[in-house]
Amino acid sequence: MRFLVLLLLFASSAQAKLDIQHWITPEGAKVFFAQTKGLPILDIALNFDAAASRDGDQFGLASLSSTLLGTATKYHNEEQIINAFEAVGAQFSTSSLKDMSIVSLRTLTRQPILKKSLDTFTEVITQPSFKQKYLTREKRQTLRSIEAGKQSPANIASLAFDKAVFVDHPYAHPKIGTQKSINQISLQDLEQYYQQFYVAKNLTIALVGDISKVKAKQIARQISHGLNVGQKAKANSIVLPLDQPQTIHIEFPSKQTHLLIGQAGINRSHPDYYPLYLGNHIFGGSGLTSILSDEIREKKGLAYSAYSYFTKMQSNGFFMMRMQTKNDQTNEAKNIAIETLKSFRNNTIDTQKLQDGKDNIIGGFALETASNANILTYLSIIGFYDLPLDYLSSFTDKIKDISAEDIQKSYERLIDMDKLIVLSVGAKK
Amino acid sequence: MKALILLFFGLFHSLFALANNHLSNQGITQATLGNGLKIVVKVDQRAPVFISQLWYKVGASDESRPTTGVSHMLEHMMFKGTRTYKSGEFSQIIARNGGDENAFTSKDFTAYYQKMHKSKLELAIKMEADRMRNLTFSNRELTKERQVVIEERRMRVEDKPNSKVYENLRLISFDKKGAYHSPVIGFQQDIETYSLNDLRVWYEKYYAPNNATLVVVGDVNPVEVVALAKQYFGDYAFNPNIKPSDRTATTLKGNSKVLKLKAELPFYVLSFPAPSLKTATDKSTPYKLEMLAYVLDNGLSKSLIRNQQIASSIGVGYRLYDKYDTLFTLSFIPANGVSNDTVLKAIKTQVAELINNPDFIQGELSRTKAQLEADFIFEQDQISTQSYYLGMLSTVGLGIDKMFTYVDNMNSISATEVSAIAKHYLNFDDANSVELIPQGVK
Repeated sequence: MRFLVLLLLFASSAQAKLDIQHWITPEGAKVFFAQTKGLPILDIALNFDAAASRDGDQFGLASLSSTLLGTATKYHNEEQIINAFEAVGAQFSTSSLKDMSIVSLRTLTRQPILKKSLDTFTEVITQPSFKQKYLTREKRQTLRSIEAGKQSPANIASLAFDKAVFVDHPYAHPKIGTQKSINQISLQDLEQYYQQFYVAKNLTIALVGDISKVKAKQIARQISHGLNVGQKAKANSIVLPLDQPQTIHIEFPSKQTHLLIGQAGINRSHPDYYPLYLGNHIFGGSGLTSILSDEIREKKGLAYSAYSYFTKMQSNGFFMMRMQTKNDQTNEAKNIAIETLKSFRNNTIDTQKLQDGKDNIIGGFALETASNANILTYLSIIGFYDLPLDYLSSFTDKIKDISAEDIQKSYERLIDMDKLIVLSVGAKK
Repeated sequence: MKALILLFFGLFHSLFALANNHLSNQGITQATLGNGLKIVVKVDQRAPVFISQLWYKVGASDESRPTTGVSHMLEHMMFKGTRTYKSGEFSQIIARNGGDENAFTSKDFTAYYQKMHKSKLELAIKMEADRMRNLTFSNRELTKERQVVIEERRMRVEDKPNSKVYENLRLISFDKKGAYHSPVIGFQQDIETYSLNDLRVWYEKYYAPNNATLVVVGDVNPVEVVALAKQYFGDYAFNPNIKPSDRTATTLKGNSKVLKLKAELPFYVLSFPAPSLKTATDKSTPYKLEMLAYVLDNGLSKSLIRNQQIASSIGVGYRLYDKYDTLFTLSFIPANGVSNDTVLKAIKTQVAELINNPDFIQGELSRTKAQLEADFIFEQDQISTQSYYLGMLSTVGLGIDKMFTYVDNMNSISATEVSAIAKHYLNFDDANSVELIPQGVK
């Protein structure tokens, strides 16, 4: 407490503690807002639960729907929409992941720019018109992306790992679809998808920037009001661990073999979330100073990058160790990576490593919210994944008391050394 | 020798005009220590953090065979221990103090950075200063790190068909005796063979206070930054052997190359020799080229990707801030079933139209200006972007005021001027080109 008071005394007005405001629009959209001062800009992210995990058997449907937002509305064509954003210097973009599809806007807050960019943004998202000519074009573009993916060993490896770890779960297929699935998607599919998933109850709105709360409420209302109320999408089933190990090799004419080792993981409400988070930071999540990088790169020079991560998706993501090495060193790298994980799982780390990991997270925590763009991402995550409003402000408190035993036990509970997926893409073995 | 020159930079007017009051209370401080170390500080109090970057005037454009990539290799070795800290300890200490750190090497510079809580400013400056002069060179570390860099080259270049295309484009667009011919990471053969002494020589030649700029952006006190810089860098001697480089880049024209690679997609890149802001005699020329790149990128995306649908991607690039003569580049991936020639012909048609009828781009031009003005403000959101521009402009020798006059310079360009510059530089008969013909990945 004393520490906090001191901080406040020295803080300038621009640096007021991040105050996250939350409310729900009359139509049922969740809103998360943080006012920041110092730059005349506003960032908005509309996070819809309308991504690849909602594709059903129409792989690529969510991604195509997201891509077509902005191509036409009931009142304007594509070039008019692009010109309207560009004329006020606003940045409009869409992206589609596995849990969420994000429609975003970055604009100046000066009038009349703010009003113009918000009006176009609102129209694009609430009054879209799906046209066959754009669908045909974007399908061709998607097929081109699928081809492009086939010349990247990193991409081939990622897709194969998803399939191995998620099996028949909605997370298993490539989010941009397959050649076969893309060809079968129709305009009606897109319209239906939009009607079902681009609805207020399926939306988390994040706003960050130099606007008042009154203005933020007005903007959220404007967007939400134009959408159907709809229904929140039902949760997918939880990803389960595999019941046996898998070794997969995909032959590819590259100089390096991409090596991916892992298993099913966790979501953000997992009881061991914090010890697993801190543990991964120390094990493979903090660049050159992490244990995995030290063993693979610093001690042996086997790879340029060697790291591990949890994907923490809604229905459980995966845990993965990832590296690339010259083809004939693959076995050596694989053995070291597995031994390193095994040792981390079975033994407690020394107190210095534990303290270093905590100090890095806690000491650097201010960097996490140092830009509007970063804050926007956090607000989206907090809202979309139903995290508590104090997620950020309590984060370092959750980290500071974790013991080496807590970490070891959490890895022992989660990681099953006998059921790992070991996937490689590279020259013939 | 340790006299301190403090200059408070008169940027308030241009900032006021550009950013509507919001930045008018933020200034930039510049100083130069007696030993030649330049210091640039920009205060940004939005969060209690800072980024500290040390920029050296050395990069791939200073290199020749058989030591291409030596700047980048040295960058890796900078984490491998000094007389005070053993190998890896730099990263460990920064990390346990909450820092995020790394380094990057390019054609015209090598830079190191730490992003940390504002209470750690002294630590960052102290440790960066230590490795400017006290690096220990160990053969054991070099042996391992050489392998890491070779793996990095495999990952970034060898296994990426489009990276190989760009590497080849530079080989045929720049004479091998001058700058920009060789890749930043170096040729594989060179990476495999440089000795510890090559690295030591490079370090001794270029790592000195009068060849570096310290840039700090964040919630810091400029007077304190300068005082700390003086405390930790101030005792290093000025290196009299460092002279302005007499190197040049010699651009070539009319060269072409076909690459048959294990790839799935075709890719085509063209380059047109062009001056940079540094080398141009008429300083408005580079801004016109920059505007041409924006207008063409937007215009070709509209007509070739969105309307005619004969290309699946288009890229137009120009390196305004290169230290030497540079390239204006055009690249594309044709749509499925469309030949490169069809796309090339459409590009030429559109360029001809732009040249013959400036009104054709009037709308594109005014929208681009609105975007650039907004982008300038959007870029202030990241302290790393701000420090990048300040450090790069200082290191290339252009001066940091270019960051703040950019939007005004771009705003003053007319459609007629863009047409004229296109006519002068986009001569397709003289362009260099690299064509990737994919052979499949089986």
